[in-house]
Amino acid sequence: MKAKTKKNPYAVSWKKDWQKNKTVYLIFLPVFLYFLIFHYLPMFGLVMAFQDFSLAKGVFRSPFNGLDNFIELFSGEAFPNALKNTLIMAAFSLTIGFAAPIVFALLITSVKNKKLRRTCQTISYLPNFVAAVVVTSLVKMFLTYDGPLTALLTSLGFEQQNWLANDKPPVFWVINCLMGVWQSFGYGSILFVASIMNINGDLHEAAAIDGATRWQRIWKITIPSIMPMIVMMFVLQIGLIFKTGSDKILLLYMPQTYSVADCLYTYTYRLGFGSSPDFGLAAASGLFQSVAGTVLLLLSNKLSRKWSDASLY
Amino acid sequence: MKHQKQALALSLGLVCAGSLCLTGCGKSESGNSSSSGEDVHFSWWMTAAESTDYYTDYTENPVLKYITDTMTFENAEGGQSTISFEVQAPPSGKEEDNFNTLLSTDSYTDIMDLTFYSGSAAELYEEGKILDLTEYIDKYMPNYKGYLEAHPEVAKYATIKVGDEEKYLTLTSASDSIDAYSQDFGFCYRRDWILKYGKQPDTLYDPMKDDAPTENPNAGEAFTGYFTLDNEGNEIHEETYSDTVNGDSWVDDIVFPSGNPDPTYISDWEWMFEIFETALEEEGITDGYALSIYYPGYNANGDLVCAFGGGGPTWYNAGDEIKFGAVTDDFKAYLECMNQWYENGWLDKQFAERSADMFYRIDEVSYRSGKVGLWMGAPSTLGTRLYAAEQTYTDGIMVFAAPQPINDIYGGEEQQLQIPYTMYQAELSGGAVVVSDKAKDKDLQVLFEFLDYLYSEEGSILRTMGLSKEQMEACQNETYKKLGLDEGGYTVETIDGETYYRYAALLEEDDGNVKSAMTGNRLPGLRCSSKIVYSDTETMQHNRELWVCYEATGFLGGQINGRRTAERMKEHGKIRSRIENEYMYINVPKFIKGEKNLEEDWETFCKDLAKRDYQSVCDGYNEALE
Repeated sequence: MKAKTKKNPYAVSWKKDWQKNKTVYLIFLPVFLYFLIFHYLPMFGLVMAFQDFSLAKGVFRSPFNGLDNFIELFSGEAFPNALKNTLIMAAFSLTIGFAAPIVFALLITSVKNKKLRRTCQTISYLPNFVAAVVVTSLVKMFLTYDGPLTALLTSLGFEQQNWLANDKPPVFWVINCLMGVWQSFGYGSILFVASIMNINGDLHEAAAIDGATRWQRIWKITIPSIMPMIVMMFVLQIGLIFKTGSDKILLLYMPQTYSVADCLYTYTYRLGFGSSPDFGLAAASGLFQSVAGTVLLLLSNKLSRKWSDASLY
Repeated sequence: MKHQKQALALSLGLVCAGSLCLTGCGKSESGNSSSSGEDVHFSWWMTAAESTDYYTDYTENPVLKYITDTMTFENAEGGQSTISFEVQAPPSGKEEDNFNTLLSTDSYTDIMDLTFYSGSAAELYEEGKILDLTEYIDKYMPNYKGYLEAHPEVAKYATIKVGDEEKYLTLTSASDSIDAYSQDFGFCYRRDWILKYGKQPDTLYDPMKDDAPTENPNAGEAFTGYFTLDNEGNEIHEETYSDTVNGDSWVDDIVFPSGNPDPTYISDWEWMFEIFETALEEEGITDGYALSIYYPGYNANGDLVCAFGGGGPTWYNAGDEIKFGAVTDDFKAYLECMNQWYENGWLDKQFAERSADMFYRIDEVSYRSGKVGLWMGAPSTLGTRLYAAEQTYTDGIMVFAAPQPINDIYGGEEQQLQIPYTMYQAELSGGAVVVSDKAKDKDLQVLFEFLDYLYSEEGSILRTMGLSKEQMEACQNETYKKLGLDEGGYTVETIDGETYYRYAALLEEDDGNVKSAMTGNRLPGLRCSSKIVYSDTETMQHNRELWVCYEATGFLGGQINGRRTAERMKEHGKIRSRIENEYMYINVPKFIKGEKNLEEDWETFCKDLAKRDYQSVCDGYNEALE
């Protein structure tokens, strides 16, 4: 007797599916095309990472050089320093930078006055919409030799100086971290605020009746309730640690502070677009960052699933 | 609702159709075969656009427009053709990106400027992207060939070695002479502070002329000075600046310790810095200083560094070979001097932090506020031009030019009293224009006849001076008219039987844009420098001459760079980046600021640079030189 294969109850032919969900697919089409054209097709350029790329020859005629670009990248004397700074600045970002929006969300959701809460939230979002070049200009103005923040720090007993030119750890790392916090804590708190607002009010009420203090309710109810969201955001953040720095550091650093400010992003930028452009080497560096970021993302997701039962997928 | 949709669809359709029509309305490109009278059209990528105050498209440039509207050139069939262009200019600061994009997407133009190309012309030729111009230059460019024959120093860099053959792959712009007015910038200092706060030195001694110091009969006396002309050109004697005086007519009796009226030696500079210190104190300027130096403590072209032996801080032509300067005792003496000046408080304390600006990495804000004694500036900072009513410290400002100084204090004998020869200076030739393979099927005779015209006597005057009165009458250029240049861009004068040209007042009082926009500055061709006379005062002319009083034979200009092979250029670029960007930019400021000790750390510094293989770049340059 022939065994009867079990039929998937959700399986439908693509024709039927198309007829049923045509509108949805058509709505999705532009998004699909956008990702295909602007995100996936340009990946072809990654081939440059394995080429001795020359503009005159182009992608199709430049000779392949195997892993030479990667060897040059990893043996470059600036690479270990850039990697070290990237990891340190990422650590700042994953601790102080990551905690700030959560703390802010916890505080803002405790405000009873709705109008005040919304006003504070709106104001906190604003820095996120300020262009990086403006943010860095403000930081430069505030921290230059005669800037207002420098004056404040000088009055507190610190030496008067251009703080952005200070190459002693952890000055630049702290500046970079605080700049990131200022710009993104409000916007980053949106998801956490939404999660907190969704917590069943009965839980808090019951705990309050049982005599739990506000602090205890935060620790025992609010934070555990939003933990999946925290884990998800944290895992995503880990995947982006190699993107640390980006354009803001590029606009703030100078050779005087390479020892503390140069990160993989700026190092790659110098290789690709500096005084001696090398597109192959820059592509290799970019590929390394993407692969390493993806590996970290997968790894942290797996660990998170194992330890906390919360994960991205 | 249905009608609304139909109307919307119709409107969209019309817009699309309209766009298609408009895109097709451009000038049709003939050029494949040009019988008599037909226009030959070329696309052209230039490195920069002119100020949009005058026009937005370079085809509206009065010189280019005059040529395209009124002139014809011989075509391949023996007839005459007009020529026309479509000019592309990248946004400022995006030149390299723009050029690279055009090249890598195969959408480059017929004619291209290679200024922002990081590779070599030889590589482009080998890849079939640009044409060998040798045959065309031989056939259709007698004026260009004539210039090269008359200037072997330019000719030796005009060709590029491809395999075993020397080929013309690029066209270079040229000048019939280097004059003071070709120089864009040099050292500037506040002469008014010396007059106000300085006194006649006790002794006078020029170490290159005098045997021993002599006593100054006027020692301790105050200096005097005055303006000699008013705005109308009438003679006056006025001690203070006003709107009615000619700010360039200043004369004074200032004398430096070398006995010269201009600061000649490092000892003159130090004497001057002491006076600047007094000036800053007396004027109550707490955030000023004596000298603004380039980030990161040296100018890669060699300015000021060359005072200490003649050469520059990186690669320079030492006469018979290319050398690397940073490991020499000359550079060590330079660093010793800079360290001393830093310790004395004479240098800009923040010199190593001014890394943001690509070209002028100096403290422009401070010197424009009148808080700096000496800086590297443009002609537009000379005389009384920096005076601004809202800037208190520019009150009474009088800026003079200073020549490159000569060291007479620091280092050993070889570092002292040497004539500087490595500094930025305008070259006889510069720039590289190529013709791409996209133009190979067009009538190139017309193009090269046009290009050659710009090297002819008539063409060079048109390119350098703009439209003459007669040309203006013939073409009635709107831009010239709008600017009041109805009489043309220049006048003709005969001096001692020779014909000279003088710019119209508007162009001579150049704001940095108008002269360039009204002449053919961006076209390749010959600049007739030796035929131009200027209306400047003697004081101003003297100032400009000080900037070119030494010949920059050590400066490695663009021409020798272009002769290196593609492989060498790529390799050198990486070495240069490792040496300058990743090492010298970090370590040189440390020597100047005293964070590194010249006695203890110098050998390590030299070894580190050797490890980064500067010698390989020297070898590559020497190959190109041979």
